[in-house]
Formats: sequence, C-alpha cells, structure tokens
Amino acid sequence: MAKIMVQNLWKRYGELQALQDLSFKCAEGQFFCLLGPAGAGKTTTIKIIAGIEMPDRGEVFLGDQCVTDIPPWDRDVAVAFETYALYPQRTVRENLSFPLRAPKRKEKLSEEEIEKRVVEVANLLGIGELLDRLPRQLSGGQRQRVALGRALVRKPAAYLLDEPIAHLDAKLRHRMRGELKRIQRELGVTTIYTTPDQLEALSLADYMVVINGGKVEQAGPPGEIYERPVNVFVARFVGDPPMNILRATLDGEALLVQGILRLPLPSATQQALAQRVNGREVLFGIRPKDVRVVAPSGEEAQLEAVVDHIQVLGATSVLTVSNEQISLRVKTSTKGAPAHGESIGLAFDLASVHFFDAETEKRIALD
Amino acid sequence: MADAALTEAQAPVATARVEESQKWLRWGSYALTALMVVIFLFPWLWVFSLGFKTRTQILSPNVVWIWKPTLVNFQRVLIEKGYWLLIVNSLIIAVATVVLCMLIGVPAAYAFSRFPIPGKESWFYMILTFRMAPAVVLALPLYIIFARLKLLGTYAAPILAHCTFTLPFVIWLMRSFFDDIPKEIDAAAMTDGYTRWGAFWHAVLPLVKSGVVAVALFSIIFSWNEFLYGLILTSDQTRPVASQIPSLIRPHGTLWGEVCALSTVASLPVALVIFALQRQLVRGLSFGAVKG
Amino acid sequence: MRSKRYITWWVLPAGLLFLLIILVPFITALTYSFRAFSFTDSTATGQFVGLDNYRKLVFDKDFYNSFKVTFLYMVPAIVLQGALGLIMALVMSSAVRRARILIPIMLLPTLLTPVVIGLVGVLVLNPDFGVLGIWLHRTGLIKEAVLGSSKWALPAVILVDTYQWTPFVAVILAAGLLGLPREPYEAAEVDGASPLQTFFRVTMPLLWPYFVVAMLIRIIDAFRIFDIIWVMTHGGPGTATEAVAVYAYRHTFRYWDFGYGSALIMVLFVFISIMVEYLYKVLQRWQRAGAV
Repeated sequence: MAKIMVQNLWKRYGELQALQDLSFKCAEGQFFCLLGPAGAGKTTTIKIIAGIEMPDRGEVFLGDQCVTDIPPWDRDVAVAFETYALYPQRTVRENLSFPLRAPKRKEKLSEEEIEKRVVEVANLLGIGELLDRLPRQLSGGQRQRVALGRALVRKPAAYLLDEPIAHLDAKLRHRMRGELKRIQRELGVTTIYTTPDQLEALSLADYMVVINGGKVEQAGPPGEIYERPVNVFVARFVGDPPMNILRATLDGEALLVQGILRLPLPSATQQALAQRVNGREVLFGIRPKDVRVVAPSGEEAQLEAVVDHIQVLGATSVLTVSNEQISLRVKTSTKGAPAHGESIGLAFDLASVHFFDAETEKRIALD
Repeated sequence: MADAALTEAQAPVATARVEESQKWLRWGSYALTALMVVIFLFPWLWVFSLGFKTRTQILSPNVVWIWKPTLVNFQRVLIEKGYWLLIVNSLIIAVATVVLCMLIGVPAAYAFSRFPIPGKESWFYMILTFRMAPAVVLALPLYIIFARLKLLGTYAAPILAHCTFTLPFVIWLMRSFFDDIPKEIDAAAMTDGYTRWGAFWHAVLPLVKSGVVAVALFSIIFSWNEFLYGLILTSDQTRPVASQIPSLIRPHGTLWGEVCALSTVASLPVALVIFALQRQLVRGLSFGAVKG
Repeated sequence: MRSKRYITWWVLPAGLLFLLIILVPFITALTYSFRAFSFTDSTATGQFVGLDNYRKLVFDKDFYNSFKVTFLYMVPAIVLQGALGLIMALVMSSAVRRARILIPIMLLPTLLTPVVIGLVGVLVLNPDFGVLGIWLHRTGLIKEAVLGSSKWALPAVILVDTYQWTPFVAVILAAGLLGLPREPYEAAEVDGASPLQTFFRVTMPLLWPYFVVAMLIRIIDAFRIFDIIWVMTHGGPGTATEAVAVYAYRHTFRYWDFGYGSALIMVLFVFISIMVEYLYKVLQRWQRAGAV
C-alpha cells in the first residue's frame, strides 16, 4: 500500500498536448477517482503512473520513491486496461495466473496457491465457469472482467483501473461498483480509478480529481466537488442533469437573470456579491433539482415557460423548458408532471446557488 | 417494365436453364483446373522421370511413356561420384543460415516494431534494396573479402553470404507480423511484472508463432535454392547441390540421367516441406506480398 | 523505451552482421571501382585510376545491351505472368476450396531451385528428345535448337520464367480473390450485371491492389534473374540472353576484372535503389487507391 503522487506532468503526442502540468496526490489506501470526459487524459495519466509511457516533464512518486525512471516491471502496480489487452492464445485461467508467474516476482507462489487465488478472483467477478475458455469465446463484458481480474489477482502497492467496468451492462456495472468498493475497503489497497461517468466517481471515490484537456480542473472529496464546483466546467460536468448556467447582473437587491427573471437574494448574499462583482455580469448556476414546477400564473411563479421536452427517468423526470429569453432544465417528479407543450410556472430555491465570473468562469466565493 | 412476369409454367424452366449454365461453368472450371495442373506438373514430372531411365531410353526420339524404372543413375551420381555430400552441404548451409538469422533477426524485428529508432524508414529502404539487388552485386566483394580472410571453401563463407538476403527477409517480414500485435499486450505483460524481454518472449512471441514458422521455412527454401554464392565461395567439399548441377550440364556428352537423378534428390526436401506445411506457406506468401 | 542503450542490445547483433556482410562488401566494391584490377592486363596492379572504370562502362555497348535484354525479357514476362496468373487464380479459386492440395502442387515451380527449373527448360526444349523440342523440330516451326538460336533463346527464357512464376502471381491473386467482400457482388447481382460486367467492374477494381503488389515484386525480381539464364544459355548465344546480372557475372568472374566489375556493381546498385524507392512509393499510392 503506497501513496501515489504525480507532479507537473506534461505529455505531448505529436500535435496533441495530452497532459498540461498535471499534479495530484492520492493518499495511501484511498479510492481515488480520476474523472473526465473522453480525451481528457485519463488513460495517458494511468500509463505514465504505470510506467508504460514516459512523461515529457514531471515526476511520478510511488510511496516516497520517485519512480519516473523506473521501468513498469519494477513498479509494484497492477493495471486493468480499458481495452482489456488480454493474451489471446491463453485461457482465462492462464490470463489470470500470468502475473503470478512473472519471473521477476519476489515471492514465488506454489501451483496450488496460484490456482486458489485465480479461482477466488474469478468467482468474485462472476467468471468462475469461464476459466477454461479463450478470450475470443467471451463476450465483451466477460473479457472486461477478466482484465479486471488480472489486476486483482495480485496484491500490489496500488491498482490502476482504467474505466474497468465501462463496457458492462448497467445492472452489472451497478453491482460491480459495489463489489469494487467493498474489496478495496477490505484490502485497503491504494486504487486509482478513471471514469467519464460522474455518478460513478461520486459514488465510489474517497477523493477525486476532475480533469479536462489534460489539466486539473478541481481536486477534492466528492461532496466538495459537488457542492462547491470551482468553475463552470466542473459545475456542468458533475451532477446529472447538468447545472443550469445563466447570465445575470445584480439589480439592486435582486438578481436579474438574462434580462427577465428577477430573483430576490438574501441580503448577505447580495452584499457579498455586490462587493465582488462591482456591476459586472456574472454567471449564475442553479441545479435542476432546485427549480420547482408551479402553477403558471400563481403567486409562486417567478418565471413562465413552455415545456419543450420531457425525459422520464423513472420516478423523476427532467423537463427542458424555455421561453423567449431563457432555457432551463428542471427536475421534477414524474407523477403529475406537466405535458409536452404545456405552459408552466417555475419557482427557484436559492438555498444552494453558485456564481461564476463571466469572463474567467471561475467560482465567485461568497464566504 | 417490358418483360412480363414469368408465368408459373415458365419459371421452373428458367431456373433450370440458369442451373444448367452454372453447371457448365463449374465443370468448365474443373476442366480448366485439371488442364492447368497437367501443364504445370507434366514438365518436371517428366524431367524427374528421366532420372529413372537409362541412357538409351532418354535419348530416344520417341518419348517412352512406360518403362521399367532403374536406379542406376541415382547410384552412380550419389554414391559412386559421392554427390550425396552436396545434399548434406546444402542442408548445413541452409539450416545454419536460417538459425543464425532468426536468432539475430527476430529480436531486431521486434525492436523495429516497438521502439523508436532513429532513421527507421531509411534502414528499411536499405534493407529492401539489398534484398532486391541481384546476388552478383555482392558476390564479387564478398569473394575478395573471404579470400583475404582465408574463408573461401569453408562453410562460413556461403553461410554468411546467404545471410545477406536472409537477414533482411527475416527482419522485414517479422516486423510486419509484430506490428499486427497490439502494443498493449506488451504493456499488460510489463505491468504484470515481466521485463521487456519477458514480455517479448512470453507474451508476444507466442502470438506470432505461425509467422515465425513461415519465415523460417521460406528462408530455408531460399537458401537451399541459392546458386551463385554457393558456386563461387565454396570448394568441392563444401559446395551445395544447387550450385553443382549447372556444371554437370555440358555442351556435349551430358549424362542427363544422372543430372536428373541429382536434381530429383535435390528437389525432394523442398517438395516435402511444401506439402507438409502448406498452410503456413500460403499465409506467409500472401502476407509477405501484401506487406511489401 | 527506457534508455537508448537498452534498445541497442536488441538490434546490435543484427546491426553488426549487417555491417559485416553488407556494408563492408559494399564499401570494398566502392573502393575497388576506382582502381584497376585485372588478371588479364598485367599493368593493372591495383593502382588508383579515378573514373576510368566508369568511363569504360559508359562506352561498353554490351552494358546497354544487357539492359535491353532485361527489358525485352521483363515486359513480355510480366504481361504473361499477370494475365495467366489472373486466369489461373480465377479458375482455381473455386476449385481450391475443395482441393487444398492444389496449392502446393501449383507452387512447386516457384519454390523449386531455379537451377532445376532451368534444367527442365533445357530438357523440354531439347530438339532430340525433349517433349516440346521434338514437336517444334518435327513440325518445322523452329528448325534450330531453340537455345542456340539468337532469335528464340530469349523467348525460351521468358517461357521458362513464366512457368516458374505464374503460380506465384496466381496464389497472391487467389488469396486476394478469396478475401473479397460479398456485398459488391450481391449488389451487382441485384443490379442485373452480366458475368463479364461483374468481372470488369467489380472484381478487377477490388483485386487491383493485389495485382499491383504481385506485378511490382515481379518487376524488381526481373533484374535479379540469373540462375535460369545461366543454366539454359550462359547468356548466349553471343549476348542474346545476357541480362544485367549475367553481364555483371561475365565481367567479374569470367574476366576477373575486379575494378571494372566493381564499377558495374555500383552503377547497378544505384539503379536498383532508385527503382526500389520509386516503385515502393507507387506501390503505396496504388494500394491506397485500389483499396478505396
């Protein structure tokens, strides 16, 4: 078990700058998530930590040791590749036991011990009956579990899991998330887990880093990332459906959103905002769950809009509503939800709103 | 539409006609195939049969189709004249060349496939050029050098000379085979605790096994068939059989029976290899061709 | 990936061997090409003579003749091998699915020693007892010994070369044919195309990359032809069949004119490397075009 630290990583592939001054710390035994959209640099980071790629600049630390110049076979990490990278001519059993037979291993295991571990991991992942099959005889989901298993058979200092359950069906993914979290907690092995799925990251991570375009956008525990996104990108990316971001200016005691919506602010908020904003335009963020559907011409309605689109997600639905000046996403319960084309009223719950600088898109902290 | 729909009565006749023309096509292609096989097989079958005929039978102006085969020519040329040694020489040279070039060339091909090597493409152009140049281009300087090193007439000379076309061939083909294996397999093995060599040996090499066999086979065949280097760099003791046969063909008084017998024996190993390992050969051929 | 020094270990043995057997001879030939060496001319004792050898080369009409002969052989041979190979591939691709054994049988001429193939040519064309020779002689089509006639010797070489290499072309094309996708054919059938139309509009374009590859390999190989010619005619009569490689042999190992021979080798090498580079680029471009 070791902590992992990357410092000022830069990596370029031809024309593409994959990583730009990337740094983060992962504590010992932590379940650490690297969250980012496709192409953000997650896989590149994993490869550099594993030693498969060398950074152009920057250092990697495993524990207290700087391992940047150490080849992958001497770093005690196990990798599960998103593209599986299974050995095609070997059975599942042989694929799983391959790492345990590496000549460079310090502790030599007996055949029985190897078999025991292989069976253990296979059963854990639900592939126990497939041990004698070849990769080409497996479905995508099964292959992915073998790839994951190959990493889990070892007891390394850290696991590097690159989107390890991305290709499983939703139910299986849900189950695997629980299993992985449980295993990690039991074994206490430092784990770096990459995913483009913010829900996955929020539910699994002890600590997470949001990256985009090779840069770190925000690092912190999941709660903090959700509650206090540090810029518009993180605000939109984390949380489903994405946060509504609207242009607004301070108009006396209230917030004037996109020219037509007047939202009275609590005085403390208004004062703090006034100090920092100085009459300029700001970006105002409010999550869909904080917008309520009310009767269109009633007292509560702060805005009127027409329902453009309804997305039913089970008990809740997401409405896309708009009028001439504003377009919003609203989360509401499916029961009693308005119909397509219906005119509705919206009320805004300002308990947890966010403000961002209109130019830099960075969070305006009000405390 | 101008053509009316086929009536119920006409339809079966139409399909029958189509089937018949297809049958004609099929039988026609079988006949053509048989014809081609005969055309290609016949010349050398005939030549090889000459090895089993007596002098008078060979020279007779009427082609003798049925005769009593004799082994006299074989006995004379192989044993009495001691030319069985030539076959052994061919074997030694071919095997030694291929073993040497595979041991050296396969890791080099892997390196070309996996590592960034400066000037990779220009190396490959050079390799290809040497492969395509006629043997005579290097024959003279090699002769001079081996003469100076006093290696003429030893096995070392023809073996090294054969490496001039075998090594590029091995590296060229094996590199394209390695290129077909995704680099992630290497990465997976290395993070699993295998060194680069371990990844090469345990993870990647097993995946190109059939390629290795095909390359080795072709290399042995090419070396076995080589004529020029075998002629000028060897002595009577070390000469391979392919290089000796032309000297047995004289303007007058050639002992055709013996020449044919020797040629038959010289061709047998190649023929056996081809039949025993057909699949690898075809795969290797089309691979090598398509990959350039 | 790690250090440059590590990579070297993988390629070092190959690099060394390459250096030893290719680079060193090459440089040797280069230096010798500027000196006068001859076993017939007693004044030539290895002194430096600058570009004398090259000058002699430029004025040697046999040099140009050898190129002419090579082209006269290459063009008909390539055309024949391409056309016959295509026919063979078309006919065989259906038959081969049932009789796998056909492939090795057809490949035998390609893989047997060229020397033996030359022998087959000599025997078959022998006017006294050769299967083809007798018939030609008797019917008066070709009155003289084919191989001794300056008119017919080169066509004979072309014939034998075609015999050897057509199966090779056929196998490459057949491999291509068998790997063609079904959809275009189904579309053609739906569109009501005749077999001929299907062939020219669907098959040929799809087969084009394979065609190009096979042809290019044969073109480059055409410059290497030596063994067959040597066995059949020794380059004669006169210089009727003296292709480039045979001409080079004459001046290096017959006349032992090392200086001149080395100059010749240099020129040949330059010519071939230019050709290889050009043809390689054409190959890439046409393969890409054909694949689209």
